[in-house]
Amino acid sequence: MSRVKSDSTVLPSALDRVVRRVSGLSTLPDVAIRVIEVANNDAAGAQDLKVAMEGDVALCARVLRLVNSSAYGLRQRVSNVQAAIAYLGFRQIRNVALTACVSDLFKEDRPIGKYRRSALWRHLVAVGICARMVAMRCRLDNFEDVFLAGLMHDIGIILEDQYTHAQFEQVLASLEGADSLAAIERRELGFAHTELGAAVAEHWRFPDIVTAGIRCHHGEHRDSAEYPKAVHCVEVANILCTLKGISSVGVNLLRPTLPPANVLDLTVADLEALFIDLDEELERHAALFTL
Amino acid sequence: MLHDLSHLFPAEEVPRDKTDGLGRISELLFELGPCLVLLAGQNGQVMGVDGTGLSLHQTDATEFAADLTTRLRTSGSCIYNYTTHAGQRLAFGLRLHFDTMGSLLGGFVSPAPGASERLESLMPALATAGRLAWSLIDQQRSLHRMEARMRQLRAEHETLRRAHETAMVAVIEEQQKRIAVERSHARRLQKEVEERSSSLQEAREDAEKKAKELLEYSAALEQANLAHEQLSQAADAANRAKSEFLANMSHEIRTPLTAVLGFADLLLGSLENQADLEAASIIKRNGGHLLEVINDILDLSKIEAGKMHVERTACSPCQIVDDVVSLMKVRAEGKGLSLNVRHDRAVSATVQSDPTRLRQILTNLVGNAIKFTEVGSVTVTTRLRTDAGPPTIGFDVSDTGIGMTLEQIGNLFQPFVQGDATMSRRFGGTGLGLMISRRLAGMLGGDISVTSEPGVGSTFSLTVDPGPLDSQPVPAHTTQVDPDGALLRERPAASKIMLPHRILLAEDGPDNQRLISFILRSAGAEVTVAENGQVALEKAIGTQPHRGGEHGGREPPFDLILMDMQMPVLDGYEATRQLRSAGYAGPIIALTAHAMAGDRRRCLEVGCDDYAAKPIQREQLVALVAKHVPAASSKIRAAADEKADHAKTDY
Repeated sequence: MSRVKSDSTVLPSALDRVVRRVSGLSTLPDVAIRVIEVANNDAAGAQDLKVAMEGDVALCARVLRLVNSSAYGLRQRVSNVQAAIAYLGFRQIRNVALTACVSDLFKEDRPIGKYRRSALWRHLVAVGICARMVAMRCRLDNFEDVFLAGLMHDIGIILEDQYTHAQFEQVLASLEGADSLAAIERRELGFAHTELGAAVAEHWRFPDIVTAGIRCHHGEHRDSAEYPKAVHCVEVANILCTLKGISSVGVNLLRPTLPPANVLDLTVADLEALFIDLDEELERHAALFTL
Repeated sequence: MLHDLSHLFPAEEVPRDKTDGLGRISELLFELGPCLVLLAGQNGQVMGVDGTGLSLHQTDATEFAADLTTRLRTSGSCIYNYTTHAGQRLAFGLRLHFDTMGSLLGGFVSPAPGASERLESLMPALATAGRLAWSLIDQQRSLHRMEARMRQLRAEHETLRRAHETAMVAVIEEQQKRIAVERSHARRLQKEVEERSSSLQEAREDAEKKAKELLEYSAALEQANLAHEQLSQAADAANRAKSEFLANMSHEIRTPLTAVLGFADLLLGSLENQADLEAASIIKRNGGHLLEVINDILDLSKIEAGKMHVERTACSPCQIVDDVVSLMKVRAEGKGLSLNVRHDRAVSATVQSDPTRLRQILTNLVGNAIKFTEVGSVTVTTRLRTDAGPPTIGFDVSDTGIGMTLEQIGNLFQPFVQGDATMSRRFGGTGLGLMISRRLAGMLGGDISVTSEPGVGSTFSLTVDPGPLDSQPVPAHTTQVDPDGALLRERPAASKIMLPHRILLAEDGPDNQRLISFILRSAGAEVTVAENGQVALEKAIGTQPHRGGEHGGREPPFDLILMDMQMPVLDGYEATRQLRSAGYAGPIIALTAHAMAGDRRRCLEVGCDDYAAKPIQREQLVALVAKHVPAASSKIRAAADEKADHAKTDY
């Protein structure tokens, strides 16, 4: 955390301004902040999460709708948050709640070229799901945190859209034939979406693993990341989803640069299997796309 | 698309298996020269490579494959002969005719002569071998993918299981922690309960100790009460003893006084010398005073001992007032005072009260009024008082005397105290009268109050409870007591009563024998004296044969018997009882010095008709006897006359 902060001191002030604007407005509802708070507390239990969520009836309803969707394949219908937590576990319900909260940022589609907010959201959900699959393939215990990291990895792009819309249009306009999104962002905005997303996530006190995923999913700072495996999961998932045509801004700018040593110990066959099976998994979680 | 993935993983070698179909193909083509064989995907990506006598860089192979694949788009198969700077080259491409399959590509660096024709003839065989090799590789790939999927599923399963296990362990640990907390809580509660019950036990023991102390205390108290009761019983006994003593003393004093007063009377009747008469009257006056004192003390002691009883009989308040006034009239006259009586109209003709005590109180009040009044009048007013509470009969005795100060009034009802200390010297008296009167008034259901003004006069107000008031009130009238005493005149003077009767006097004291005999004989009676009860019994009913006289048993030999109650041999009580049981029906009058309340009742119980207390007053005795003797028969009177001289000599 302290390392991230020391980084932020050298960031351009343009980033600070946007971060301040983002945090000044209630971009994320209170209930989300409460849920994050509970999630960060090691001593917190299911009861605390339930209490944190109960204040927001609409949220609870959305969570229950998700929980009862085909994605989770529950035999019995769940009618309250407590039961949902009991069935699916603390972290999964936390993720569902945060997913529901974050999805609000992607409403009111304002197309810019090939860019669609709904498409970006689809990308995020797909990367989240895929990252979780990769994490499980790699036997990572914190696979639900990896999901959240995948879900949030491009949060910076939607924030750019929401809070620096005009400049964001410029960025998208300059995208054709460009080397990387980050380079154009830095030129037009003074910062990359990875930096903005990480700073805001830090402000919202998202788990460190999520912030790391946001900051490092394009290979930058990768070597110093605290959660290398989790970050790789997000990276691989991002590549797989983009290859599938589920891209963030409608243009495939990927120049995959994985490390020489395959830290995740994945074979091409593994990736092929993931690539093929991802479709089925996304189909199961269709409810998330239309939250 | 999948070829992009292989870009991601350059370290991953393209699968190369010498035993697969591609190896056979390169063996087949070996006779044509050193060759390279490639299996390429639809987009030209290298699926498999084999070569004999040739080594090809991966990049070169890829470019070669891409080049040939592009050429193959237009035809199913082709053979190229071309010359490069390095020499003759021969290449071929063959579409495998399946959408999913790619192409079989090959090249010869230095082809043998006629290789081209030979290759041409081999093309169908190459197509078959190519398809075989393709499907082998495809199956191999599928196998790999299946294995990968298995790995994925296994990994997912294991990860989930671990996560679940972790969660379950956490839940179990939490529950164990909670159980431990609850257990320690229960232990604490139990400890608390034990502590509380022990403190409760202490409290109970404390309470028991206190209860024990209380019991001891109450036992001590009971003992103290007992001691107190014993003391008070002792005090009562002492008081009773005092009363007994007083009663006995009064008997001892009154008996000789009877004689003193009686003989003073006697002397006053017979003496001629003026100086002797003076002396006798002094004796009588002082004796009377002494008697008064003794009577007062006796009354007081009776009241204090609770032995004074009042009765309730029908009596006329006006009559009682009139009686008292007529008695006191002489004394008032003597001081030149007028004594007035006023009866209120509303006063009942009869009330339920004790006439003796009422008379005693009124006598005392009127006597005091006269005593302390030098000039003017004394007025007695009788009236019905209904001003406060239940109706009472009121008697107001007003005088125009010296009056009293408030301080003197406060001392009035104290024993032995008069208005002030100088009064007893000035006016005489014991100072007991008012106190006794007030106590008696209380016993009669009333009280005595007083209003007074020094130098103007005093009014003593007596109230008594009249009992049920159902009789008619008397007409109000005021009586001015005539100095000549009209009321008094109605009653014949005792001294003028004649008693022509035969009387038996049973009396042991020689002085009283002589005094009473003298009084009765002076009134004309024939008196026989008996010195004790036994003698009296014999004389009255003649039980002794040798004493049987001329009267025999036919009629009572005496008209009346005066019976002293304290006598030797046979006392008056027993003698009277025997007389009555023997059928004696004549009047018997008891004489006794015992003035206690029970005496009179006792006398009447044994059969006496009336009661006379010693000392004997001449007029009282004569009047009493006159009241009880039966109508005098001439015969007896005649006999009495005959024997008058004899009786005198007896005396």
